[in-house]
Amino acid sequence: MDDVLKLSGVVKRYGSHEVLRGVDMQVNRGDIYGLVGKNGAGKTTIFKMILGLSEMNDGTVSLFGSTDAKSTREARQKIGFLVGAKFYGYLSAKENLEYYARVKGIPVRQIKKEIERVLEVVGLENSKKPFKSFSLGMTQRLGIANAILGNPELLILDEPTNGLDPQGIADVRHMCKRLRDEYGMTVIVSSHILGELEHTADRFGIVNEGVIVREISQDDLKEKENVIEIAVDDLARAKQVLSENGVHILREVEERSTLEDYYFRLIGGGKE
Amino acid sequence: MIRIMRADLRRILRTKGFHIFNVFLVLFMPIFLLSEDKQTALDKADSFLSMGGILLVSLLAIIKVYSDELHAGTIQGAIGAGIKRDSVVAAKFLSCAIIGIFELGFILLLMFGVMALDDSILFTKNDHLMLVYSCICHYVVFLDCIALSSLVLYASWSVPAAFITDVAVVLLLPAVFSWVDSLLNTVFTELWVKGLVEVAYVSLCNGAFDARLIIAVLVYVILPAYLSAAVFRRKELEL
Repeated sequence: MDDVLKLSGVVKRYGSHEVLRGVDMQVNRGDIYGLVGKNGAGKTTIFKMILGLSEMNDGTVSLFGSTDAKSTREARQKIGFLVGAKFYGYLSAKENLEYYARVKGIPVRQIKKEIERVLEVVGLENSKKPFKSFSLGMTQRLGIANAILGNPELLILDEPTNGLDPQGIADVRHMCKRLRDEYGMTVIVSSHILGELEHTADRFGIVNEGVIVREISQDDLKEKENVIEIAVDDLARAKQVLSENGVHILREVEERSTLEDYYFRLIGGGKE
Repeated sequence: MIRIMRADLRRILRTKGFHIFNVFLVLFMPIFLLSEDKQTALDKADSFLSMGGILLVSLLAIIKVYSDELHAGTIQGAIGAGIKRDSVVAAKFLSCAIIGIFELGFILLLMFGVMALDDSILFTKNDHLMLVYSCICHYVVFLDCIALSSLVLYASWSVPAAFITDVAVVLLLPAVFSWVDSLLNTVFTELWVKGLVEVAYVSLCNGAFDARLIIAVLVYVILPAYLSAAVFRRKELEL
């Protein structure tokens, strides 16, 4: 499959502290890739490596097949990203997007139309007030609008549902799918809300202590588990025996693992 | 690089602070130049640039180009969009340089305008030329303020440190050097950027070009600007 992003053995140290310990990760074209991990696991550092905001100590980052510094930098022009709210407080949504549109090199004649398009996608088309008076939800929406400005091929969304209400969270989920299905974007999304991410992404990278311990797909979550909690070797026979002995099985549940279950089984810990 | 400059300058033109600053100049300049004291109008104009004008313009440029940027975190946006780090540094510096040209040109026009309105001020054609020379020389000091402040800012990622550097270049260090020179009979004042451009200014007024202006540009503008780029190239940027 055509890989858009590939990290091989990426190591990042701050002094003696190793934040990334050989990250291997592959995102294919058309994926919605969920990056899962607790705070400090290394998710944001991975994004910093991809975006060229930090130098790695070892390993390679391949972006759209480019690995050398110059072509990787050029390939970054195909990336849109939401990592925090990076906007000027005194400018409106449109003015902020105009600033970024110019920085990204979108042709001047197309800027107005492009800004209207992305604001419509995130539902901020009528906003006229300055950014400093935005709610957290509006901030996230504007961040997403900026990320999709210029129709990037790869979209990186770091905690896009932070501060959003349930409706906003659902909107982000639909937006990710819409951007992939309608615009052909590949999406990498990180979130603490595993249940939400499970419904958004189709592949997942589970980060723990600076490494991606497992890459899984939705199919891996669909493995069925029979949860009749008795120790038997032969389930059908067990049911038959139970039935013959007058024990009624009230309920038989086919339980599906959630991403959260899978994550905690792999990493340890548990739900609070 | 050009697209960052364009985006920056358009953004700055939209800020209230930029326009308030210029309104302040329009109100202040006549009061300052027309107030009665022993100095001639030309001396007043020169001392305005030397003491406060350059500091105000450089602070305006640092606030609008660098401080706003750091607060908003938009520099990461440019790097993430595939812009070369050297281009970002160059674009920011050149944006400041353009603001400096605009503001010094505006100040110069205001000075000419105020003096033309007042018949009591004797202002010869030669005085006009000397005022232009003064602005050119002070522009070098302005560029030095920007270059050194941006170097400190990229190294420390601290806006207050950049402001302190700016004030030090224009006011504190010349005062300290002057005090040390008088105490120890040294020539620090003459070697500092302000000393170099003052000598060059006197030479220009006498119809000669002094190479110390070139030395001031190379040592106090080009070198720190180059070091800024070198520092920023290896800077870890937070998200």
